[in-house]
Amino acid sequence: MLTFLRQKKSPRFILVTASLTSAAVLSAIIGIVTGQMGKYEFAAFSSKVALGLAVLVMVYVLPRLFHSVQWRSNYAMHVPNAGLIFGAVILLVTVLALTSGNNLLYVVLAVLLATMIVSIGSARLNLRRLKPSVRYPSHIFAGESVPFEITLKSEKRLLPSFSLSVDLVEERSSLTAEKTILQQAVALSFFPVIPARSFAKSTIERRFDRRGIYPITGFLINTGFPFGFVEQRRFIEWPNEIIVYPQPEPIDNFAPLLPLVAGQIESRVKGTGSDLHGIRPYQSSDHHRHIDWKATAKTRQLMIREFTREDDWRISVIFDSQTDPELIADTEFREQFERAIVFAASLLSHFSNLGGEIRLVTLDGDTGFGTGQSHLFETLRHLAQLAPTKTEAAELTTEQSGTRSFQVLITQNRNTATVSDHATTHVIRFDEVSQQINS
Amino acid sequence: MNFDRFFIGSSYLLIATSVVMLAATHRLGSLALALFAGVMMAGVLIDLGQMRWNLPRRVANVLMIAWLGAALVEWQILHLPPVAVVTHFVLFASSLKLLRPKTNRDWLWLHIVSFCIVLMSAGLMMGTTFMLLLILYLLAAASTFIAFEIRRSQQAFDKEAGALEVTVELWREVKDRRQPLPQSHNRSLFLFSIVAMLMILLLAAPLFFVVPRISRNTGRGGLLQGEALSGFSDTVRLGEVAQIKLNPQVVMRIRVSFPHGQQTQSPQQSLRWRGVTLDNYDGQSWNNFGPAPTPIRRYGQGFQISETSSRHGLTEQKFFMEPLEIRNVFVAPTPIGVIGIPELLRDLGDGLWTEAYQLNDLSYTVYSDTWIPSDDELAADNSREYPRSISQRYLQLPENHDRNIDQLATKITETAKTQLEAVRRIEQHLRTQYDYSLDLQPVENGDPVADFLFNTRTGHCEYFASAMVLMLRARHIPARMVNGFQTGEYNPTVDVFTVRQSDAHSWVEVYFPQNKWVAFDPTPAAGLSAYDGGLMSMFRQYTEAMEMLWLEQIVAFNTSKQISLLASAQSWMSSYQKTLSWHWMDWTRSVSEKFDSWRGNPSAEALASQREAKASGSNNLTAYLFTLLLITAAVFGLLYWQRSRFQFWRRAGNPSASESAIKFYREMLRTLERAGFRRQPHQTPLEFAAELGMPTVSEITQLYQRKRFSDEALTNDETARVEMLLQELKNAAPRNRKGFRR
Repeated sequence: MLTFLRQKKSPRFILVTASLTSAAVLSAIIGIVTGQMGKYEFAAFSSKVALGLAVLVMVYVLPRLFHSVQWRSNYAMHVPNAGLIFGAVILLVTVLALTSGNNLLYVVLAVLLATMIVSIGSARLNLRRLKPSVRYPSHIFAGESVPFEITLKSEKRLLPSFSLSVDLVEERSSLTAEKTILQQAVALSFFPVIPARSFAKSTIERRFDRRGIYPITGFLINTGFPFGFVEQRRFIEWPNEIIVYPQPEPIDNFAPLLPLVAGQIESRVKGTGSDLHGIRPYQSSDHHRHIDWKATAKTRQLMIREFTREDDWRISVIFDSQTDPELIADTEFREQFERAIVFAASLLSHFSNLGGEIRLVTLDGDTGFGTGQSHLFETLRHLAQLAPTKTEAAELTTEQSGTRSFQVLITQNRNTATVSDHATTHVIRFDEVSQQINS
Repeated sequence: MNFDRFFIGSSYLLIATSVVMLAATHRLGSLALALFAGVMMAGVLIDLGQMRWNLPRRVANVLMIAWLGAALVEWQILHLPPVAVVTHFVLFASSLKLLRPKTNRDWLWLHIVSFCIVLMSAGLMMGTTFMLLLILYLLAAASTFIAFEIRRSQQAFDKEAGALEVTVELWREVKDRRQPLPQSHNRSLFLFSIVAMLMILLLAAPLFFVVPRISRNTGRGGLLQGEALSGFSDTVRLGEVAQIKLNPQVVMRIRVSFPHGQQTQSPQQSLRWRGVTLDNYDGQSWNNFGPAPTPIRRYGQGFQISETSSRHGLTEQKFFMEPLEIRNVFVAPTPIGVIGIPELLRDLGDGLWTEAYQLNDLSYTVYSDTWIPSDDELAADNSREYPRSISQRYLQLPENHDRNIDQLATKITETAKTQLEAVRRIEQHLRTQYDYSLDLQPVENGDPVADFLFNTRTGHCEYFASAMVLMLRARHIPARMVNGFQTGEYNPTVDVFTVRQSDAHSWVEVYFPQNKWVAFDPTPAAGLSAYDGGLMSMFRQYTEAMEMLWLEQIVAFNTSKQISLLASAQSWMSSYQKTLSWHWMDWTRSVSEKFDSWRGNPSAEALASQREAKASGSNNLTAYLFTLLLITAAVFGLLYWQRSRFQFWRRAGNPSASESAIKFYREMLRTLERAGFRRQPHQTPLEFAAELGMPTVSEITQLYQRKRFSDEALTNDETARVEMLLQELKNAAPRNRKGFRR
């Protein structure tokens, strides 16, 4: 179905088209006139010129027009139950009118048919010249309610639009191995009326139960206006995506999984790093460069700053998403996998909040060490996208920076991942994470 | 944003309109109407939360079943017509729904019931009242269903979104400022309902005419019941016609086409609509004595009643009948042919009847010889030798005939030389010596005609006509009484005579051996209908005209009219096409001849043809083409002006410097956007210009920066410069950034 011209034609195109068409028509007229005058040769010539110009018009104009027309319709129609009832009423009145010959019933029938036509036309008109947009937070965690602000702009000059519901069309992958892509419309807002040349805005709370990437294909504006007998839908393309991070949990929930590192995590060891460990009274062996003059002034005794050991605050989380192919679609395994993701997120979040340098290594890449919120979000974004993959015995490389760091390998099977420095790596299996939660 | 009140209001208007429609059919008693109005009032209060009342669903169901028993009683014991029984049941069931807070399903039920009432009313009525109420119903329905749709969609969204109420903020941007808009938009909803209604009516009009008709019935449905008219059966008790004389209800409308030469006759004087012929008087009542009416043979689509040809042409009368419970076929005397009635019968008194007088048949056409012989012709027709059938039938007098009537007749006519003179004298005597009144006391004993002539001396048309017939018969002149209608009120707007029940009339027909039956009217002028002019009359005429158009074009529309309409359309198209092709041929010929003459060798034929072309106006096509060209140019010009009006910022009034700056800068941004360059929200104008690196953009931006926050207005030179730069930019930005010439 033809829907709209994609772009306005340039004046040059219009001029050339008009000139060619006029010339063709003029040649044809000259051909006819000269034919009547008996100048048959000239008439034949004029006719050929007209034909040639017509061909030129076809060659020049039609492809461009064809190109500028979008063939795929963005509109769809659906007949709801009310429409079916209305159809039945039309049928009933038709039968009554035809059998009785009562012209007043024909009047009623004509009114009903006209109502149906007006219904379809008005609904289409109602959906025209509307621009939806949505705003949502940049960082969304699974299980948290987040505000979605939907704005609908009416660019109509005169007519208001009524009864519009705006949906966000999201793609959802199925959990099967075939990964079927499903389109799902999520109701965002309902606008009873939007006057011409105005904006309407509403805010809703949305909650994403699972982490992941939610690809958005666009908006779907629905209306049953005016009478609810026909529902029209208009799809407006708006490719985008919503990234939902895994929700980090308190590290205490996973403490038994980390017996070897627990102490190191919780204790702060003095060292020559740059992070402040504490302030204590000055001792004669202390270097005067580390005297904290502010604290000294306050306490009226010499106080000295101590620093943490730098290498202890670096942690690498290596997440091995390889697994047996037959397990990928297994619900129990998926649950274990999700718990492992949450565990990784919790670990990274905990260390990041303590000021440590964190790093995530997955089959897709390595985030490198970094500190602060933005780096944490980057690692969480990686975790949000992780999905189980088939075992390929790929090596998860962890580049050693020369200084010591904790390495935590989270994997389904100890043998699948190859880590360069296995001796210093704490390996935790997916099922151990789940068992810990269950216990 | 709540449309609930609007929805409730329009729903009640919908229900009320349908009930008013039903009331307009006269099938709903005033008590039932008043009760239902009370229930509706209570329903409104319940829905608005002003009244706490909830009829439990179970109780409602029990009451509904109980009413079925009551309906049986109404039908079988009280013998109410089925339509009344169904109506009462529907109204009772609707009342049960109305008397409690309603769900969406309840509302839908009530809307469907209201529509069923409309359908029922369509079968029970036919006038313009239906049309007016249908338009009102349509408006109410449009408002109701629009509000209902919004309400249901809102509820569906609320259900999907959860219990939280989502608030909607509305605003409009005016000069970069947010201007909040009101939340209530009931007015725009109502305006849209009116627009929707008008669109529906506009579309419904052509649809009505093209929907195919397959039923042989036309016009009205089977539920329609005609009104009984007293005075139009084969036995009429004296005084019956007076009963309907007080009723102004329309009986029929007649469009009359007189034959050439007869227009000069005053139709009010010459035309009467003949119904029933009464020949036998028993002292109390008149009847049509003799065998039952016999069928008239059909010829094609019509009936030929008389084989005598008229020397003066025939008067065509097209009758548009209101529903009547009678079998008479009204005609102007003397009928020659009738078209449009399925079956036609004739009695011995020349009265026309139909056995299958169907209410579906709205109209029929009669051709009559309405020529009235002159008094000279009638005076010459004085043989007094009547056929045996005539003298046996039309000289009858009742057994207890009052001889005083004979004496009176003899006294009036004793010096009359001709039959016509005798008839005229009696007619004149009655007209002048007696008074007209509809307020009469019934005569207990004796002959009412004798009582009228010798006692009360006051009567109405029946008494006058009866007295004349009896007096003529007493003088051995064959005469008969005819009941029918006077001409009625002429409505020049639609060229019809509107005949009401108050136009019912009785007159006399006298037999002349050569001229057959001639009408005479002894009723004084006071007994004849008179229609005043003035404002009310004008209003009545226009109302009647609307009614007539409705009846003629809508209610009486049938298959043959539909075929005729399509044929006319086809004929018009074909004629137009033919005219166009002739114009085209003429035009090409004239152009070729002009070309020849321009070249200097006009042929004699060409010159002759040119003269002919000038005379016949064959250059019309040139004018058409020129006009078309002008219109096209005007449309393009208008479009260009419309476009440029929004483009050229400086033409919009006399803006301040900052406003001008904003406008021309926006114009530049729009042009760049079309070319694919969008200014990002974080970019300042200078940053954006720097990113693009285009001198034109930079210059406009610098000018914008200078003028945006200053009071200094643009000079003429600056204005011209900006226009030139913008034009340059537009020329350089053909489609997209790939083709952008920097």
